[in-house]
Amino acid sequence: MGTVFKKELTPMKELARAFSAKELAPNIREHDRHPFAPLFMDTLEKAYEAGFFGVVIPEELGGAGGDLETLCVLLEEISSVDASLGAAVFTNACAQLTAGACAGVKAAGALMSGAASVREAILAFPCYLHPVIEAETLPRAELSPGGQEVLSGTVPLLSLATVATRAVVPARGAHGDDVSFFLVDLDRDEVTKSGPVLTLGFHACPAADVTLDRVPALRLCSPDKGSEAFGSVYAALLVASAAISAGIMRGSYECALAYAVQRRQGGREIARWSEVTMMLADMLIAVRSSGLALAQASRLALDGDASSMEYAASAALTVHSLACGVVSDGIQVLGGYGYMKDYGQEKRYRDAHQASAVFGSHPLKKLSLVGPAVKTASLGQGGMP
Amino acid sequence: MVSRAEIRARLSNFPPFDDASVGLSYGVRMPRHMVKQIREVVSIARAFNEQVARPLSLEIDRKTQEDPSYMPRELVETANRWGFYTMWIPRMFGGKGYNLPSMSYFSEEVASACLGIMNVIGVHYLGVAGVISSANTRLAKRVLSEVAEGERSGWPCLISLAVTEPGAGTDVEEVELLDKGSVSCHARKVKGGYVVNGTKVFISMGHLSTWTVLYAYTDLRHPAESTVGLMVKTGMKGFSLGSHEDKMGQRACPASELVFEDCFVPDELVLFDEGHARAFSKKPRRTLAQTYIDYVVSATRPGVCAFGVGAARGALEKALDYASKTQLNGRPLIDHEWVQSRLAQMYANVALGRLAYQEANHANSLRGLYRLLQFKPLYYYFLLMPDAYFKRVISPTLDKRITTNLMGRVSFDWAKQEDIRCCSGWASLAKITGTDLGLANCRAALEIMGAAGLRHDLGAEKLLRDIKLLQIYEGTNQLNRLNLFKCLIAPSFPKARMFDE
Repeated sequence: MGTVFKKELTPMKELARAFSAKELAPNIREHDRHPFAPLFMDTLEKAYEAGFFGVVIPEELGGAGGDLETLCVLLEEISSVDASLGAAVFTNACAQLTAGACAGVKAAGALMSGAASVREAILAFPCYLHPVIEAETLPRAELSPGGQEVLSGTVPLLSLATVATRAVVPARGAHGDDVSFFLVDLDRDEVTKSGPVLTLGFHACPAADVTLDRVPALRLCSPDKGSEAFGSVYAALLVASAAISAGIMRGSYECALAYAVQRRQGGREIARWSEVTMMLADMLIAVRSSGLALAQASRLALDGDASSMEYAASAALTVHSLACGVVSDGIQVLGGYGYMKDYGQEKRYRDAHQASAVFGSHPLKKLSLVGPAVKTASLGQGGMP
Repeated sequence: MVSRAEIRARLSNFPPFDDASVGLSYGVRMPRHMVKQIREVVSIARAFNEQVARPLSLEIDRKTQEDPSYMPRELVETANRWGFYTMWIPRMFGGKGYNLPSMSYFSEEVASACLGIMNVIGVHYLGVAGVISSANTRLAKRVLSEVAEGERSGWPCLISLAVTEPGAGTDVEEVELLDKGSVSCHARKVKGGYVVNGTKVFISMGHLSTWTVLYAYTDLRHPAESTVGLMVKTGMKGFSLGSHEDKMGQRACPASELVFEDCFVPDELVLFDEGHARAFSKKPRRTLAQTYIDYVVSATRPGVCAFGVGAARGALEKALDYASKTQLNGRPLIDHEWVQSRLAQMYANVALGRLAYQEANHANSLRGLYRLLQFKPLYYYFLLMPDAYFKRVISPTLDKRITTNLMGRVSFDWAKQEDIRCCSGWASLAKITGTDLGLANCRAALEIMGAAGLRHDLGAEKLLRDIKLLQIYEGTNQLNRLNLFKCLIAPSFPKARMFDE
């Protein structure tokens, strides 16, 4: 049992589970060899056909019409087997939800309509940076002599950039320094992409460093609304990323448990060594409490209420932290075997740390979370705004 | 005034002062020259880092990801040219005879640049420790002189240690578990030697070693009573190399499978067995087996601690570099208090880990495997005597049975169990401290660096992959905690039972 999502989502959970068992589980190691082996385009295509890349798009626009909880169910389930596909679905959802927050749901849905393949349908997104906290690193938008807005600068680790034909990219606006979001055609000559950057985890969700040299871009929000738009979906996106971590840690726990009851040392199953039992208990507690927190967080994150979003983001950050501990214990229970590629525990260790870096460094996310509360409390004490 | 008897009685209460503060007693006895030699060793390591380890670290790691069958033969040849495979072999065996604690400092330095490369050098000394701890001076001379010859000829001669089996990892590290475990590497006594059948796994550098110290058992139902140590040479009939593992990290250092199928090992290559042990000790076989294991791990676990400290330092250096060059909110990241606080904690972790391996080395130097070599008069004697003296006077005596028996008595029969326990306990303490703090620092570096920490080309993610292995090999940290309890706590609580839940 994973996260305790509402019962109506059981079909999605079962669909994701069946897909993972058939398409992901048999080839995890081979998929993980990217960029030294071809990317699993067939699997991405099948995931697209299964509707995984349109979960949060309304049905009338060709999506599955799901909410955040639906997305979380999907992400947790597939990430318990192979988090790389979870990261790909998440990246695309980041772009869609951010575009929706900027330009409205219909506009976001339109980005996917008419696509003939997964390459045309999915969107790249820089999900390892926080576009507001790290605004000073973003590309610059300016007006070209022809009156069109163009972007210049570098976007490091743009997820799915080597797969997708378009990206949703944040930039500092030409009309001031606030963040705006733009739709960029990645196939244009003004765009230079590195090859897939070798990273710690999510190998089959490749990211590339992308340099924009006065590339024409379609503005998705008015110049002063980017931060606000992103802020309205940030907690939801953080919760979705935590669903990946929740899936990874569940996979790690289940693998450790299965190993511990069959591996014998000192004449008994290692699961009967109380220190190992204690590690399994710690893992179980982390998995289950994360599941509870995530279920609640996925219902609160899109409330639009600041307090709800604070709860949701807090839960998400906690899940990320717990996951990094669980996956380390997950290797430890298996000993030397856990460190080898054979059991998948080492991949979960890498993927969990990769997931925790979504939207930038963990401490910065914590600071940004408590920032508004400090400001409010300070104002209440007569402090400076 | 307090009487001496009172002091002695009070200091023997838990925690026994002589165990808990072992370095205090060794400090005044330490030969001053050791510090000079350690400074020299650190300087050599830093030069190696600049010229070899740092430029190659990411390149080799990437190459092994692209081609998992890649073997770092050139790196081994380079390390051989630098003289690292004989540096800590005592001069009487043809090595350079640097003081043994200095290797920990060397390990920290090189590991700060690349844990995988450090393991390519360091794991050879796991084999050396296996050879020397046996007290078999004749065989030690033969094997170790080949290592020295390999350095002169440019054909590296490395030694690996093969203990772990597919069904026995933790079991083979602790005699109490050995008889309950499921070892399967069998040595059958035949005329003129042993015939070995079985498989060993996760043997670091197995594919690139010339010699392997092999643990096998003449009675698989009672392995603690029947452990034999054998030297097997790559290429011997019946000894083949299986696959090598596809690991998460430390990829520069292959972990090999060794397969023995009716492999005949002649008596002249028996490191220790029943007959060997009986020549110098009447202690039970299991006691001797545990002493042997304790000697090896007491020497190697502080080394793993130093590896962890090196990784912790590497992580600190990566985080410092990033924080110095990155802006946040218009100010350098390093100017932010939360960053300074994390960097300070990382520095503290490095220092604490270093103190742990220093203390474990003090224990070995005062009461353990190093006590003869680090004993001041002998230290200077071995330091100052010319090479010719070792060749003409010492070397011939190493072949004599009486020398092996004398060394055996010193190491196994005359050694006090409380000394062996103290060294083993401190080695475990150092191992868990250095490796846990190392992992904490690697995670902290990733947290500070955010997305940059994920990139292979910046190196922090490799540290996180590399460090994890340190919590597993040389006994998992879980086993090492139990060993610490057994060695440093349980003697004061004699009713406590171990490995018997």
